[in-house]
Amino acid sequence: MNGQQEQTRKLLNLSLLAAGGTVLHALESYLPALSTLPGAKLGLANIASMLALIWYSAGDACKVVVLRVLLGSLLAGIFFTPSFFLSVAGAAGSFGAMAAAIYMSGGALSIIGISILGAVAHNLAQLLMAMLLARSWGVVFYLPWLLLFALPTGYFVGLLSTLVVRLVPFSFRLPLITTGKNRQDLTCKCRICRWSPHLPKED
Amino acid sequence: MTAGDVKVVLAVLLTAALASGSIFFWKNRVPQLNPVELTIEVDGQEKQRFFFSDLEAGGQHRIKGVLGYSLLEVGDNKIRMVESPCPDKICIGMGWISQPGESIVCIPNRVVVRIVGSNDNGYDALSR
Repeated sequence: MNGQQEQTRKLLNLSLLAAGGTVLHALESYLPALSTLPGAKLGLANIASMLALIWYSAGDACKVVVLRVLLGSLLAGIFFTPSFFLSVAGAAGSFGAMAAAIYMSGGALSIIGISILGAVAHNLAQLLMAMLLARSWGVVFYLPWLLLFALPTGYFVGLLSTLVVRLVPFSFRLPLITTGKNRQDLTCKCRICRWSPHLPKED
Repeated sequence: MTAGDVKVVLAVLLTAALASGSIFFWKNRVPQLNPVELTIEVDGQEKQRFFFSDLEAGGQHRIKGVLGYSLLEVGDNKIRMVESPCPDKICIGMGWISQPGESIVCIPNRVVVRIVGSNDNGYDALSR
């Protein structure tokens, strides 16, 4: 594959991730609330951010996140309502935490651990946004519950992401793997792949 | 799950425990940040208005409604209806109210008890 094709494939894959994230984001806002806590959501759309972070760079993943939040909110009909700002805060928080965890943990965390950190940051950011929107400190009382809630949701999303990483064919990540100038450089550059022995080693 | 993941989970649990502990402490130390006001309306007109701090806990309060007298019981920064001449007693079933924005409504007797307060944020609810 030449550089042009690689770029096209990367663009296509990122678009697929953004589209998938958009659908999950919109679908999730149709689901009944899991509990009465503000911000207590499953966070399925985080799978898209997570995969984009794993397979591509933080900058590419950032584009996916922005797209899926904007499009997802438009589809769910909550654009520029308080829920939209909660969404934005949550997505930004979880993206930031997951990106930091992937690039800074140096292999100490698995996808599940990173996902839990993302879920915690998602809930914290939503709580802060809720405080701003409501102009009240009252919501701080939800903090312990939101922290606890992030554990099962983060675990679940991490598990799903792990499954996707395992099941998606190797060719999906080809652009990343063949970005190197020569064939010797055929190792996946993403950190998760470097840590996970279960990923295909064929080249 | 790696050892690092377990550490993350433990750190989250610890933070949650610390947060709930400090919130519990804070809630018990500072009884009320803002003075919470109570209004009583009869037949759409405001009859009485007072602060919780002016009422003594455990006391009772009588209001003349359209049908007769409603009896309110004052608790620790909360209030409830204990007696009402209305037929269905829905107002009594509403139980204690304590948060700004909450109200006890007795439609037959035309009595509305409402808590208004400076920390009333203006939102009915936030949907996600």
